[in-house]
Amino acid sequence: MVALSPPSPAGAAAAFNPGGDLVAPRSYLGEVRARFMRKRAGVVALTGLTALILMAALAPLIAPYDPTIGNAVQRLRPIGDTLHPLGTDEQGRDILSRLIWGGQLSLLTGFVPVIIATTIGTAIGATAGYMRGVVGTVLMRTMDMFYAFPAIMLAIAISASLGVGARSTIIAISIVFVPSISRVAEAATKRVIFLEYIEAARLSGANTRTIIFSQVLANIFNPIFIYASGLVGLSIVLASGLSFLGLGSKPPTPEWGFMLNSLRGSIYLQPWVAALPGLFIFVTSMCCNIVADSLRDALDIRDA
Amino acid sequence: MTTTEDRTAAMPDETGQLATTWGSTSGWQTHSPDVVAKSDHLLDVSHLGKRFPVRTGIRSKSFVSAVDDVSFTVKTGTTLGIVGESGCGKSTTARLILGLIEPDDGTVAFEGVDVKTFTGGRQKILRRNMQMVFQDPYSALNPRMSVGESIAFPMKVHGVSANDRKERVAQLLSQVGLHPNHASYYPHQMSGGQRQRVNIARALALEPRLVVADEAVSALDKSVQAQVLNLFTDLQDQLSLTYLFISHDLNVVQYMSDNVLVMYLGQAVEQCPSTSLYEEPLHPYTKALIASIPSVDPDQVHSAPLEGEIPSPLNPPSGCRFRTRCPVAMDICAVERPVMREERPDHFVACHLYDTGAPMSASKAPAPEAAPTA
Repeated sequence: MVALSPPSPAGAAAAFNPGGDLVAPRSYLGEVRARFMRKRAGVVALTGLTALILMAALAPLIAPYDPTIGNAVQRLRPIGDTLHPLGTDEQGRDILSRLIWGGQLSLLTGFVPVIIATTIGTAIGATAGYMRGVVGTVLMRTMDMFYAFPAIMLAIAISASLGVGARSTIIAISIVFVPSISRVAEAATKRVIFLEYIEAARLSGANTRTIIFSQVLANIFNPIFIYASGLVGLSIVLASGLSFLGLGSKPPTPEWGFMLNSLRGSIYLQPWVAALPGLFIFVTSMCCNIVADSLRDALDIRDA
Repeated sequence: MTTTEDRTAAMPDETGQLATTWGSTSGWQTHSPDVVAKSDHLLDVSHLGKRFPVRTGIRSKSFVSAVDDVSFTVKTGTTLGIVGESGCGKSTTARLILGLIEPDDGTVAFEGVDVKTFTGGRQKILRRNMQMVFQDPYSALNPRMSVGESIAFPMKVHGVSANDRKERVAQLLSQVGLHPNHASYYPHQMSGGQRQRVNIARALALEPRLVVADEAVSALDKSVQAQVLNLFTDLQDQLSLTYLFISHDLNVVQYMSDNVLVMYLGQAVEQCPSTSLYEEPLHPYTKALIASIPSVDPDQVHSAPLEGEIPSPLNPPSGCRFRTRCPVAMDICAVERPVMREERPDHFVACHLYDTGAPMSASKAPAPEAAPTA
């Protein structure tokens, strides 16, 4: 009763390969795509996001009017006006054209800072999480210092010191986002590094850099990706706030956040027109979140 | 695949470099029968010790003694099983040997060479000679890497070309009883037994001479366990591997091993050939372990199981660490730590019962003290 009854050695090898050549190769990306396509909300959101980006990219072709030139006679027209389907603003500029053109700057200030901050934040967080000890503490406590400032105050301070313009807006917002992303990355890294496949990688003789790039990054991508996608909407709003204070895009260049601010005075006269830029920010933000959510589910095949 | 030609084909750029770095000591090439190591000890572990710091208050620190003064040797081509309850330091011992954690005391020698001397670039030589099969087939594989990528990763680190890696992955997969097409699978697409086969394939990728299996079958079903155990024995025959087989399951260890080391609370208490473990266990702890194995015979009367819990390694009992649960503890057990002595030929035990002149062992023949050998 003590020893395990040994089955035949040949049986041991054959038992795991019953199909022989029927074992077909599998494609990871194919499976991810199939899983994503099953999610209707994700597909709709991805379509919407693509449409918004195309709209902004093709602005010179599809915008009916010049977004910067107004007509004093046609000020604050309502939605459904024969000449201006989405109305006009307080200077008589066509809202539709301004929304289409504004998408360029707004999407830029929405996505670029998030991409920059994700790259830097992940690098800092993964390093801190993997090294721990003194290196980790110094890195993370430095990041914590940024939390002493409210996000918008920090953005204003950085933006003001860098000068006016879209470029400084993007840099300022990137810096604002780095601490929180690095914190998410650090937490995710700490969860991953005690798993046995990291030990296996160390046993192969790989150095720290190789292990972080080959073993850690892919496995902390999901939480960072989800968190960062939620920042896109916030980034657009922060950029618009900076524009409002005269630190971001300069009038008359259209930009959704700035449009929202300038139409604020007309909220009692034309509430629907005034709400349109906000609607675009909302839709962009929602699409990003839903796409990220669906993509996360599609990538996380483990839970299938 | 065990011929030297095949190995050279798989690792063309490594053999030359190895010959110079490894020097005169036999290493990589000793798979071929004509080059045999001078000593038949592949692994010598002596007085290994590891304490982990634990914060007990804001400024106070104490130490968990995870492994304390453990010595053993493993002969080339044999299997040493390490058995003991969870928390007895089995896994820590494995990680100390492999260099995943640094020992506080003692030395580990591979083929008579202290592993501490393998620093910098030379560390890779050690890496390719000692590999590990992990306990959990789920967390031991990177979920974002295909099986092929996981197996190829160690070879990539060691500079094997992409084409050779691909060939070798297919070869390894067949060797562990999987299909070469499994290389494109991801871990979640496989069963636990299949994943453990992948783990074994990865451990074999660098053609190691010593494979440490840390609870390698504990997470598997009984039927799959038997298949994987047979795979281990088949591979040992084919590749003349040396195993360090760690398990809490006495049956598994006994089935796999030539020699067995019993550990309790970070210390080795008994070491013997696996056949004598069941036939004549000497240490009271080993006796209790064997008595605790459930029997399929309903008429068999069980001896009383061990009383109490395993004590905290934070504050281990003085003298013999087992004395708090030992049914035959004596006064001396609290005072003096028993040393390993060869009580029977090749059968070592650390217990005061077998002390020369001690009242309980008066009838037993006095045994000269000697270093335990596996």
